[in-house]
Amino acid sequence: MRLQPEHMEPKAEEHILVCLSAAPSNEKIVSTAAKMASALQARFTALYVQTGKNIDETDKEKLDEHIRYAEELGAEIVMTHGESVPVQIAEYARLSNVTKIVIGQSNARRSHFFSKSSLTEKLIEIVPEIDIHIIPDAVKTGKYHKKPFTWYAQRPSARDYLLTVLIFAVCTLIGLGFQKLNFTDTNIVTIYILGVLLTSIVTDGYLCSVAGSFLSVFLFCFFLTEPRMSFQTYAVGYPVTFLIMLISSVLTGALAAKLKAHAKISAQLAFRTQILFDTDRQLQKAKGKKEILDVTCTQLVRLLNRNFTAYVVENGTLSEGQFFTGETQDTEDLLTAKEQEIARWVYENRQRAGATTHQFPNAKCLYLAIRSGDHVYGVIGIPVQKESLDSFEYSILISVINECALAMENSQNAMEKEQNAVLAKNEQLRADLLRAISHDLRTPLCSISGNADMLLNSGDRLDETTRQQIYTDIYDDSEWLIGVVENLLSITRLNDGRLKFKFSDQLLDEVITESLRHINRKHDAYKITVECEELILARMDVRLIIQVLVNLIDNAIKYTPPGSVICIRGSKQEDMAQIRVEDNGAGIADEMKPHIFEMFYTGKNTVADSHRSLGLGLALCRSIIEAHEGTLQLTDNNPHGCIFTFTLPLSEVTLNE
Amino acid sequence: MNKALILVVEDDRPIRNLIVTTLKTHDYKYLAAENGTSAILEASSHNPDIVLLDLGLPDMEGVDVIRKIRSWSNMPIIVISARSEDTDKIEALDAGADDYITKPFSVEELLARIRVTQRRLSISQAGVQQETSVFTNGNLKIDYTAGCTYLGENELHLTPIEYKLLCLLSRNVGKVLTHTYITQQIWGRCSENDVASLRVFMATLRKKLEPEKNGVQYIQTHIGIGYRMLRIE
Repeated sequence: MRLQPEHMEPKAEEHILVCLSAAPSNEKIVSTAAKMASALQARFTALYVQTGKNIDETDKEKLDEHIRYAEELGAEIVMTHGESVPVQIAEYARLSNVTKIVIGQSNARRSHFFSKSSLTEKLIEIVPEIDIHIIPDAVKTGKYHKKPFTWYAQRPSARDYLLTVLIFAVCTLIGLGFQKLNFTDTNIVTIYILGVLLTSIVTDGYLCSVAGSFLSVFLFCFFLTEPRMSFQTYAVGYPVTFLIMLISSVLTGALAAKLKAHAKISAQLAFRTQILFDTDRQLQKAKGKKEILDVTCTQLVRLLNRNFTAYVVENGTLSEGQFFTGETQDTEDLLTAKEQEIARWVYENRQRAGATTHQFPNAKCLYLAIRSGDHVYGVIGIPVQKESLDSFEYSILISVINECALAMENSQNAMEKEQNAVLAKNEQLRADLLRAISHDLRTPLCSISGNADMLLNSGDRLDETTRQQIYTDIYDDSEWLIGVVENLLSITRLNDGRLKFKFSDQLLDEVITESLRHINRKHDAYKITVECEELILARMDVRLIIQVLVNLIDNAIKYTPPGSVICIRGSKQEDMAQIRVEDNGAGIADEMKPHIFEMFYTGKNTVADSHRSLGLGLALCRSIIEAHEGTLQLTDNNPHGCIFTFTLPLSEVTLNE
Repeated sequence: MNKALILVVEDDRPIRNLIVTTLKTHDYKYLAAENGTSAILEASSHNPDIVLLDLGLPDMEGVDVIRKIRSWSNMPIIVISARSEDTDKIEALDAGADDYITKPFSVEELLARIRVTQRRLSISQAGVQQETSVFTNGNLKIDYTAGCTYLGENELHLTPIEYKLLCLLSRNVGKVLTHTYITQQIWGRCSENDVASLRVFMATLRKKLEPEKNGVQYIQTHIGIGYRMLRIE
């Protein structure tokens, strides 16, 4: 019976950890843990601790099978490395807030001739706060435990034998030399122990150093003790010397061999750490899921020198597969419809499938989900038909995929955060806009209604000049209000998005002439000139561009003293149409320049005439020009004044004769 | 001269008052209507010289009022519309309106539009120009039968399209012609590219007609709407 993983959001508080091993009973333990997890709706993780010891082929197969089984049951697979299994389990359990550990009895009983405390006891000792569930072992485990030392019995090669013989020959020669010099036996014994040490370093496995230990005792006895060339000894103490020498050389050899094994693991571990670190660093730089997947796959291709296929989840559906290839690999088709279908199945069911699994075993690839918790971010396919993955490769693969999932989760979170920030910013802008409008509209409206009221009630008592002044004020205020309303209308158009724009091809000089008609009558005091190259057609929403020009020219009028020259130039620059609005006023102070395009920035205007401003104009201009894919820039005019320059895309028109 | 009878159709009282007061102070005779139904009634019973028509009426679409009036009369109609939308102006012009004015407008502008329309009216009522084969407007002279154009003493060298455009505008002098109408008349269709071409041809034509920058202006550009030939006094 296979348990389908629960497709429900697990409660955060329960997290079940099951320990994987190669023991035959492990499958039962995993299935029990899975049942528990689904009953409690808990997070379910399967942990395998890699110790330094080599495990033989059958065990490896068993282990791989268990890992796959756990994955099928919905577990997240985690591999850690370390010498002490309980410490590693405890460490992981603590870091990931595990609430329950499920462990088998076969794991728990760690029979050794050194009577160590059992794994369970140790675990309880280290993490007393976590529940530990022990599953009794139903399968006979006797055979499994009979071979704790088999891994030592690596058959030495001819080279190893030769080296051993050579080392001890040299040791004996040195010993003979020492004797000539009348050194004590202690020195010679030390030389032999050194020999054993060297042997265990230069040869593989354990056998040579053990053999060397015995050999050294015989050689010492044969060549260097009285009588020479015999195994007999005269001195009483020699048997004791031999015994001690034997014990110490065996221990030295064993220690050295263990050290070597450790060195190998640490090298592997360092390599792995380095890879993960590298991947991590690259993943941090990557932006977006696609890039993360790219980095991950490139890294995997480099590490494992295999082809990969990758699929990323976008908007709730799996994308088309992407193919990543190593240097010299053949490129057989791994993206067939059938393969993509399997990838989709993996995404939907959140578990591995494809070659070497029970689901779609005929597939070319093994498909693994890139998942974090219950969320699948993508699927990676590894072609395993030609050469399968060994456990080290597999563990690296799993680690890198986990890193990738984490990075994707982070990027997803970051994206959501960014979206929220944009929403919040828009909300803020809207609020600012409303506040600015309601405040700034009230002033001219007050002035208009107050002035009109005065004319109505006491108009006849006012002299002609005062009345004229009031008329002018009313007119100016209403003109200003009209301008504000125009800008607000443009803002609504902009907020509706670019789709609502009415693009048409317009002649620059006509647009400029039209904008000048909208400038309020105060411009009589200014000298406004237009210099425009003929027949420049630009693509624009003409109402909005006129609004931009009106705002820029109004600004120039507002911030320059009467009598200033304002020049509007239209020209063709490379592939863009360019319009410049130049004035010869006082210019804009450097410290204000970075802010003038900000919304609601009105500056500390010193020109008395500019009695109020919403600070919308330039911000709006920039938004409009950017929506036209042009740019709006401010530069200094020579000798003084400022120049606003904006560009618009040229139209491509074929004339109908 | 200012004795023309003008029908003001506007539902907003302050604006109607403003227009009426303006007309009164400039010695025009006027009628006022505040909705479409009464506008049609007034127009049919008093046969005004000019109609000022607001497009946003409470009871019916302004465009429908134009269509109704056009069904029996060619009286000039000046449309008053809100500034934000070009489409309703174009629709009104295509339905037969002669000119438009955008809210908020100044009194000066309103009076200028009325004067332009009046001039057109007086010429067409005289009925002299319409039937002849020669059109004159200021220095511009078009001989339709010979297909020749003169500006003062000089003959203008126009391309076929430019000549067609000039004829179209001159036959509708004083009236705003929409892009759609012009392209339909010239090319028989109206695509975006046609409108862009129209702009270019109009620009080259204007360069020939108005060689001096600040000289006489014959053709008026209405951005986003169309063109009009002005009657030069």
